[in-house]
Amino acid sequence: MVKAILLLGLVSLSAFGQSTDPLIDRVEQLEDKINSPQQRPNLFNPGITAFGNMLTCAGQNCGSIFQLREVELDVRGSIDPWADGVIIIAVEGHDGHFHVDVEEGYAVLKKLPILDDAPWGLTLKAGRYLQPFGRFNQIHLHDLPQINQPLVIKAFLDDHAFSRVGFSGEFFIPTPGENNSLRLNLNLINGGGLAFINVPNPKYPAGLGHLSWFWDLAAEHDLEVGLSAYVEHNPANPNPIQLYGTDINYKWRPYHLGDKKSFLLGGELFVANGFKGLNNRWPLGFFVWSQYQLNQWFYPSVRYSYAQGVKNELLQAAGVYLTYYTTEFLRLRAGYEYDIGKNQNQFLFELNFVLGSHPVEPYWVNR
Amino acid sequence: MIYLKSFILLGLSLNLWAAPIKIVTTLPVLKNITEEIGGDKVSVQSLADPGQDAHFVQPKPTFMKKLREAKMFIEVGLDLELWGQKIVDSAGNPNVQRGKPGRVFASAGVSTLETPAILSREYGDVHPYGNPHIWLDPVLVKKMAKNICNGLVAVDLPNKAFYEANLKIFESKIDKALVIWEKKAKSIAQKKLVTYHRSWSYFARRFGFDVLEQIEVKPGIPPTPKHRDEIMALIKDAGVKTILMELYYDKTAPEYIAKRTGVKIVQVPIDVGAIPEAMDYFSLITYILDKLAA
Ligand SMILES: [Zn+2]
Repeated sequence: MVKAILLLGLVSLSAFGQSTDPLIDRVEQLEDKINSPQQRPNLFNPGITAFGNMLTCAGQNCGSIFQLREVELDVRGSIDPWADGVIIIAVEGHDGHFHVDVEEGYAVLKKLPILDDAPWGLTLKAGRYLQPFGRFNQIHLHDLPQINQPLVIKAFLDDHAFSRVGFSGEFFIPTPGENNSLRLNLNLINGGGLAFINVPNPKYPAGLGHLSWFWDLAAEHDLEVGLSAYVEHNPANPNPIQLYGTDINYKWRPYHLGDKKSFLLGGELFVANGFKGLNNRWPLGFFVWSQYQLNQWFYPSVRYSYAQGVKNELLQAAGVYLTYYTTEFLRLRAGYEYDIGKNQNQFLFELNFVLGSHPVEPYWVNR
Repeated sequence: MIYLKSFILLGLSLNLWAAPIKIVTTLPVLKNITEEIGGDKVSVQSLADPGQDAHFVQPKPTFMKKLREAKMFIEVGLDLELWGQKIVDSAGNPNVQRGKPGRVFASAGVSTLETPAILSREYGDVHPYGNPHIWLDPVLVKKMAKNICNGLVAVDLPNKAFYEANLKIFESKIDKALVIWEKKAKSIAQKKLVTYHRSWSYFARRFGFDVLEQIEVKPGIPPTPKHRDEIMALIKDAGVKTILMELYYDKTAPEYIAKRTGVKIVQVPIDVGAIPEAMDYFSLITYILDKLAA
């Protein structure tokens, strides 16, 4: 019936068509329109995603065998044409108790208020956010390539994630050539409270910078090298507290295999200086890791971490992991971790799920 | 007098040598169409490699650097390029933000096939707004070219007539080619196809093919052994002779099926420039039809 009416109504229009059979085209298009629901009905609503992460642990120093480690709510959207907003609330579980934490809550200004153009592509961020000290610190628990953050992050930055309130400005530094890109991210934040110094309250202003140099080595190979620096003026110390880091990541991803193969090799190195009780030793830590994607589903991975001089301890750990994705929304991961310093073994099993508007992303490989 | 002359000459040469408009597209096919419309008034770069799956391109910092300088950013839209917004967000370029004339969605106004009545991950994970692979229908490509032309006019009004004339030429080239393509398609006896991904719906509708099933379980969800077996039964029952698939998909499941059913695998590029025989849109469609006819 609909078709007949459309056909009748369109006979007169057919003369204007350009294709070989415009009438049929037009009817098909109108039929599609009738059958299609309104596109993007939630235009003004922020995208809401919930993440759930469950861990099963067997071995030494595990705590509960079954843990709901984290439930995270991620709300994001456009504030106006020039600004986006992100709010991430994490409910973290510890042995049956839960506490709520605002992991991130910030606005990104994509254009400066007065200027028409953003010099060097400057974007400003204000609020609480994961600090760009290295790369792993900016990855949420549900996105990590291994089960836990490396012990170096825990020993130097924070037990969970080094998130602070402050301002950030990120911009491109012009470099010659099309195959590389240099970006600098500068932050003014509430300092203090870093894991490697025993100053519990974040009170003192600190500066943090991350310089990242990305290279397209060849069509399917790229390399990113980063330098991080953190400087905090803490009156309890004779000198400013300093933490330096470097991160390096190599990635291979063959185009012709879609998202079925990839290889990643990376590491980060941290060195600290400038606080009391140092005894001329510079606390130092690093980790190296690698992941090889066998096919669309399986990703084996290894990691080794080392830290010395933090609270006069020597920390060392190694782990092997196998990740299985059904889709990017459901991930299972088995792991074995050996704490070399404490001679402890743990067998771990992680389940991670994603609900809601989180876009399809080609797994961790692409972050 | 001599001064005046040289001033005029200088003015003319400045006008003649006006720098082309820097444009970044997500896919090579969009670059190809944009160059047809923009001619020497534009300088276009495509971010994705033609041999890549358009859904899964890695948003690299070098892409952001390229986009930083651009006056215009053209994407298909319909969430095909899941990575496009990420690049815009990090490029810090006000010209290409959503709602600005420099941000062009080539799919604007195209009514999509397979638009899900309910948005749910149950239905697969990469076509939430309906099928985005619209450029494989030449008639829809005319619509895409019109959208691109409108975008060019919006950022470069003085050259309106130039762009619109080129659009007319492009449209008539498509119309001429379409007659040949349709004749070619009619001569292909085997109209029943199994495809790997749901990329061929518009192509099939235009050229009278019948896509019975996909080797993927749902868009973006790779084949399971059970689904593979169902496909084999279908191929035998319906007498399907051809599996049509892109160059970049894994051939394991199609080869398994081909070995047991005798079906032929036709592997073709889906974008411009992936192989020397398909360096522009016209040769791409010709190449696909020739391969199906072979
Ligand atoms: Zn698709």
